[in-house]
Order: sequence, then structure tokens, then C-alpha cells
Amino acid sequence: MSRKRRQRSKRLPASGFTRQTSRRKKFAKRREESIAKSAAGLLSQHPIIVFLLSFGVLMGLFYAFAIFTPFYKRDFLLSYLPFNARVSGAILSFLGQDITVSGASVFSPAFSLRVVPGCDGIEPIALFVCAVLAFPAGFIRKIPGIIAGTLLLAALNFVRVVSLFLIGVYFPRAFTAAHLEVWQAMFIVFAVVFWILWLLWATRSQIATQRVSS
Amino acid sequence: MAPWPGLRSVYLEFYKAGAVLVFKSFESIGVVRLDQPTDVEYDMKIVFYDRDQAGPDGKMVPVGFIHHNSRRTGYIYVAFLTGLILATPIPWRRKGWALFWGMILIHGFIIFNLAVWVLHGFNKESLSLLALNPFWQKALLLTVHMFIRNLTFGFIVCVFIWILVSFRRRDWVKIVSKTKIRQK
Repeated sequence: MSRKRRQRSKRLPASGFTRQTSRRKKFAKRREESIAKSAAGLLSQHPIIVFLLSFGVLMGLFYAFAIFTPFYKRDFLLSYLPFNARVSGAILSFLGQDITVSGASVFSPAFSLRVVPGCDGIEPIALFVCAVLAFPAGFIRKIPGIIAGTLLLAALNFVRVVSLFLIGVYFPRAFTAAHLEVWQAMFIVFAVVFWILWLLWATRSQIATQRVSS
Repeated sequence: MAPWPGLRSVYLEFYKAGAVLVFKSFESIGVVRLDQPTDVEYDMKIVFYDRDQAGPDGKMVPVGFIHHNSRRTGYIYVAFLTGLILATPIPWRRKGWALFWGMILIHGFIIFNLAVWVLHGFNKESLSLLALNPFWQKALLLTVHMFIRNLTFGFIVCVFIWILVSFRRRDWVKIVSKTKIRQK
């Protein structure tokens, strides 16, 4: 718009059309503000519900990814399950067991087991990652938590496979209970404990710095 | 989660009573009854009957069954959730209320599980008491495989319920505000 035109438009009284558009804009702005306020109100009034909703949505996305993407079943699990078996087999060999690993199976003359989907620790890892992501904290605080927690839980799965194998060898009657009840629950407990530890880490050093400054 | 003397058998009776109520709601599709299990791995046998198939004595003939373990589909989640709530550092009064609401919610999930098991049983090819279109059949199979047979999912539900019933707004605000101060 040229300078002259702009000056003229300033001088001229506003037409009906421009009045209407400005009213609409004001109305839309007010509406946006009220939506923003109500959203902020919801966030402040029901923070746990908001956290659980975002946590649930993220878990839903994980399950959708696990169910519907061929990548997860065909590529990821096909390499991750044998990797679990190889590492667990190596630990068991180190502990003096006569181990042969084939694909996702770990064999010995006394006992054999197969790492199948569900015994891979992926769901507890997803639980931990989604809980960290859903919590209202800075993303920079989340990254180290996600990396450390994922690695720890993945390492814990080796402990699970090794311990289950040893239970199968030395206490075969306790295997089913240890496999289906104890370790499943323990893994979730560990995921929750790691999440709480991350929360403490994300809050603790501030408290420490506050104490030092006072 | 240790099996306290008698607690499991008491819970089994409670579970059976609840299961009978769930089965009654499916009587428009077919008849479901509980029986003694033939496999020692399980503590219940869900038997399906077709009303249209009666024996020469006039009694309904069982057309299929599913072995069921109340410990793995109910007791274990109840024990896990109870453990989580009792381990939470909140006053005993609040723990009591959290347990009350937690038990209601977890049993809602257990009832849902049982209902899906029954629907899955009715939908089995050998029974075919419930005919679903391919989409719903696939959805039912997915639900059974990913959420019902998968024990971990039940534990994840327990964690959701634990957070919902154990924490209050002021606890949460305290944690979040600490995190936000640290970010600054």
C-alpha cells in the first residue's frame, strides 16, 4: 500500500464491512483467549488427569506402533530378540553354564528357553519413556532420563532372562511363577522406580542449589 | 504378592461370584457356566453351552470351554495395586481411600477382561455362537492378544490406577513446581 493511500484510509471513516471484520476479529480473539484460559484452567485444576491423558495417548501410540507397523515385528523384534538371547547366553556361559544360542533361543542340556515378544522388556521401557515424556518438565531434563532409564531397563532384561534360565535349571517348579508373576510385576516396579528416581533427579539439584544460595 | 494362607482361595471364591454375574449378562448370546478345571495350571474352567443343542435327557450340551486362572487375571493385579498404594508415602486415611477406589477400578478392568474372554469364547470357530463382522473379529483378536493374554498390560493399568487414586492435586503441584523452578 502506498503512503498516500494509507494516509487517506486513516482519514476516512470505517465502512460497515471493515467494522464487521474488526468485530469478528475481536470476537475470535476473545474466543481464543477464553479457550486458552479454559485449557490453562484445566491444566492447573486437574494436572493429574492431564498427565494421565497424555501418558495414555503416548502408550496408545506405542501400542499402535507395535501392532500396526511391520517395522516393529519384522525388523526391530527380529533383531532385538536374538540380541537379548545372545547377550544372556554370553552371561550364562560366563557363569559356567553349557550354553548354545540359536536365534532367540538359549539351550543347555538341562534347560532351554526362548525370548519371545512380551519377554523383551519393551513394554516396561515404553511405560517409563511415556511417563517421562508426559510429565510437565523441560525436554532437556527428559533426554538423559530417557536414555539412562531405557539402557537400565534393557540391561535388566538380561538379568531377567539369565535368572529365569537359572531358575529353570535349578528350581524348575518355580519357573512359571517366576516368569509370569514375579518378573512381570518386578519389571513394572523397576520402571516406576526409575521414573520416580528421574523425578527426584529433576527436582533435587534445584533444592540443593537453593540451600547453597540461602 | 506372596500367597497369604487362605487369601487366594477367598479371592478365588469372590472372583467366581463376580464371574457368574458377568456370565449372566451374556445370556442373550449363550450360556456360560463355571466348572472344575481338568488342568492343574488353572483354577477355573469356563464352559460354553448352546441353548439349541440339548442332549437326550434334555440337558444342555457343552460346546466348548476355556481354562482360566483367576490368580493371573485377577489376584495378581489386586496384590500389585495394593502393594503400590501401601508403599506410597501418604497418610493411612488417604491410603484407605486410595485402596477403596483402586479396588473398584481394578475390578472394573478385571470384569472387562473376563467379558472379553467370554466374547472370544463365543466367537471361536468351533462354537460360532457370536458372529462378528471381519473388522470386529480382528479387533477382538487384537484385544485378546495384546491386552488380555499379555500380563504386562494389566500391570500398566495398575500403574495408571495407582497414580489416579494415590496422588492429589497438591502433591502433583508440589512436584511440578519443583521441576519448573529448576528449569529457570
